[in-house]
Amino acid sequence: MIGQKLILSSIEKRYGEAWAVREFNLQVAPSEFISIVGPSGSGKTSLLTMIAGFEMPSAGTIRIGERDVTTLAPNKRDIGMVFQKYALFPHLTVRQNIAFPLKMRSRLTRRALETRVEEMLLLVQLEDYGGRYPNELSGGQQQRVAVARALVFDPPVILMDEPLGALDKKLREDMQFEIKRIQERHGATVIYVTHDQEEALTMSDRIAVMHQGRLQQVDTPEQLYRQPISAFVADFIGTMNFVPAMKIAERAGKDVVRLPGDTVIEVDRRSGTRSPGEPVGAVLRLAVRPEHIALGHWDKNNSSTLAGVVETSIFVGSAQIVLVRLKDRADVVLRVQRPAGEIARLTRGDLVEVKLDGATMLAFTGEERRAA
Amino acid sequence: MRTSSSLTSMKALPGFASLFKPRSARVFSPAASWLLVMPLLAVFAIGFLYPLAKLVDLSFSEGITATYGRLLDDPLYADVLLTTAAVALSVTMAAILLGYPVAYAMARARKRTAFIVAACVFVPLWTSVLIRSYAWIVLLQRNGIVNTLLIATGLTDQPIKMLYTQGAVTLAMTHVLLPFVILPIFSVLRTLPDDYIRAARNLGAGPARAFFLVTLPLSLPGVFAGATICFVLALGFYITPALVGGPGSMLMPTLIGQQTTVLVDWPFAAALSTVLLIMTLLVVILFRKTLSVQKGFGSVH
Amino acid sequence: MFIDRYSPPSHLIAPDEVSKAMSNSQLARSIAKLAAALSIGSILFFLVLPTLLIIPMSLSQTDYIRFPPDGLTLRWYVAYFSDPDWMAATWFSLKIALATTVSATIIGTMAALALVRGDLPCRNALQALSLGPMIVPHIVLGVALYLVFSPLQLTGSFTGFLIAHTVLAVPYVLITVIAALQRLDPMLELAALNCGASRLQSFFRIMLPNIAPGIASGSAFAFLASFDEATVAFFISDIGGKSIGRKMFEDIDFNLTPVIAAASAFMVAISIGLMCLAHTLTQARTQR
Repeated sequence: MIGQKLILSSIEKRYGEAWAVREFNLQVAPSEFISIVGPSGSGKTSLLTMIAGFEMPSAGTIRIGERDVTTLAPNKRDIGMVFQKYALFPHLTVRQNIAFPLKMRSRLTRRALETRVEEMLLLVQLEDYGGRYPNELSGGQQQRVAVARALVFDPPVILMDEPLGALDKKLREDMQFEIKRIQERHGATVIYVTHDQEEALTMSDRIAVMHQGRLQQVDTPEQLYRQPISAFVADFIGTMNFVPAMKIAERAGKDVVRLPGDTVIEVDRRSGTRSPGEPVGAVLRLAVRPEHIALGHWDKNNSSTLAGVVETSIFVGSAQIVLVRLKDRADVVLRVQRPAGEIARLTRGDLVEVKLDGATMLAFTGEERRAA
Repeated sequence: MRTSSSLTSMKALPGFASLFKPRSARVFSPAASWLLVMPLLAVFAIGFLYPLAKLVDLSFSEGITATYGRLLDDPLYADVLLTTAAVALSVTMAAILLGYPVAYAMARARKRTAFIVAACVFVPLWTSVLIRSYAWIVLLQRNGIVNTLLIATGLTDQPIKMLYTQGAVTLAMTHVLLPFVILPIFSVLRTLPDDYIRAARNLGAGPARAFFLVTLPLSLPGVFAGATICFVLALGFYITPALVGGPGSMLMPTLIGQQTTVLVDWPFAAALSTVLLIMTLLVVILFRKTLSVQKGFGSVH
Repeated sequence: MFIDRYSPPSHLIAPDEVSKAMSNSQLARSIAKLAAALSIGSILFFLVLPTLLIIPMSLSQTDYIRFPPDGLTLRWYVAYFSDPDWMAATWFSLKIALATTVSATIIGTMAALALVRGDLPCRNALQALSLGPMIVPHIVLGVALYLVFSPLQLTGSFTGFLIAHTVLAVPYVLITVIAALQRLDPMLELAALNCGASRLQSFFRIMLPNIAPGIASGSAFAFLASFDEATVAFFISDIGGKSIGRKMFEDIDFNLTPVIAAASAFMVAISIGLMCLAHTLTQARTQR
């Protein structure tokens, strides 16, 4: 196996008074594909430049396999990197670009080098484009050259900095699978930085979520989606609705909360998802995914249900998205996802019952503000 | 908290070793940076700073009254100073008036026309100032082309004295400095998006209004940059006034030339040079913000 | 021109009105356009006239110029190329200009690298200083250099000229190379380092090929800054060593003959040839 483990311990980076990265700890397993996501300015690119060696951390260590590379010069690190805008050398052909890392290492004979370059061209499906210059290629092709250049010398770790950011949506989706395929065949450990959480969900073994320079949570895509550790992560990964509520009692490991309109429900208290000791009377934010909200006919005689008014209903192909404004909390608009065609379409102004299931909801403390 | 051994050792490095370690891969190490500017500093110390310092020093060598005192006493010198500033100012004005339309045409015209206009701007720029001054002498002298044409067309029957006058100096200097005004204006105009003018037209402005309300104000930085460069260069211009101008149109540079070559009074010439130097530096410092020399020359190629 | 796009669509106006309105406004427009073209044309003529005049002057039969010329002759060129004074000055200037080009290009490129990518505490002050020779009046610098060179017997010497002209030429190299470096994607160097290249390898294999056009045009300017320079050359020349600029200045001042025009034509040919070369080099690179 080519991939090696990468260990980041207590990484900090400060520019003057401003912190870019704080108290960052992460262990990446050999051949793992891990994504670092976060809004812009969350410190993910700073982290990547420190792993690549372009900047030094203010404190902490970086290890690749058994080597401490914290202060090692970037050209001694043996890390492959795919840059945001590819950074292909404009004066060199595709073949020369891919051969460049091998030439700099001069471990191979001329013959072996040429064979290796042809292998890489084949791997990224550009065997007919070796003689072209980068600006004679499309965005997707340039992207593949960049991947080939990063992989050609079999680095144990590959860094990718928003590599698909410059491509249009359709091509981006194709390339996600392409990169994943190449990585699985090649076996390198990949650190993939993106601000696109969907991309991270599709490609990664694990995802690390960063916010304001700190690591919020690192987990598998599924765990992250189901068990976000904070309201920020809940909001950042996938789409999440937040409903304000007040805790009124505790019963058999569950929180009893009161929703707007005086509806009372029980919410599972799961370990690690929030501070468990919220006192009775505390304001909580209940998080619920769009697909976990059901809509029903409004029954005016049943006062214990949550009422909402339909704002819009959008058909998105595979599903129907309905925006519902709560009747008793006009500042809360819920996004509800229903399987398309299953139910009659709702129209603006319809009064509906919003059905929430405590088992699919998470409770967070009320103070945390929604991230922009 | 556990700190790495390598990091503590890095922090323990003595100050001088950090000279050789770049702060980030984006910059060179301080030692490499200094090594790279060293040749420039050396040649500038020998061929620029030291000579200028020596010049200023010489101007004080015979006591302040012998040089600067004389400068203040004789109204002739104040007169020359004023004339120099006045000529520089009129050259600048003329160059802007003539240069703006050319810059505009260069920026807006279609490819082929723009190329021809650009060629007409660059050809004089690449012709030595000496040669251009020489051509102006041939054009303006008593039996020169202009006089021949004037007589042939019957506009005058006596040749007019044009050479060795202030007018000739202004004309020739305007010609020499015109490209320095055109290029900064051009480089600003070129970057103005067409959309601004389209938007103005779309909002109901006629072509003239669109120009005076949108294009002109937005191109003013280029105009100021060009004007400052032109004024500064005009203040210190020697060749053209020396060849085209006469004794009646003495300017600071020609006065310095006369003191050194004819009267051989070096301390006084040094004092005059110091005054001219300070005048130039004052203008540059005053208009530092408008003067982006790089802007002007970045577009030369 | 965009003006035409804003005339109202013709189908909105009645046909006979169209022809009337069109003919009036279009006539006015054409006249305005013609006037603009004529005035810009005459300014352009004013710009190129002195340079173009060199050619008929250098070929004229008479020793003063008249229109139309009486006849054409090459004798002024023969006179120029066979005059030992002119030839000595020309060779002296060419030698200095070539040496200045080499030294100013190396010094200017190094300094540009330091100013753009370097870690220097007083970068702005250094940049201002390095552009100083463009701003300080050449006559002041000429007098100052004479004062230093004269006691050292550097006037009229190759070394003296090389120092003076390097100082004058460096800013041109600096400006063009700084511009080229600023256009260069800084990620390319990081990519080179990441690929395992050392700092030097990254400079020679990645940066240098990409800023080469900028360096080439900078050095063309450096050549001209030396070859066409006359003011400083006027002060630091002497009888033993005279640049073409000084020789020409003397001849214009004392002895106005068409030989000057022949020498000028030769100089202009060198300048324009050089700039065209620099232009083609730059174009060939940017095509990619």
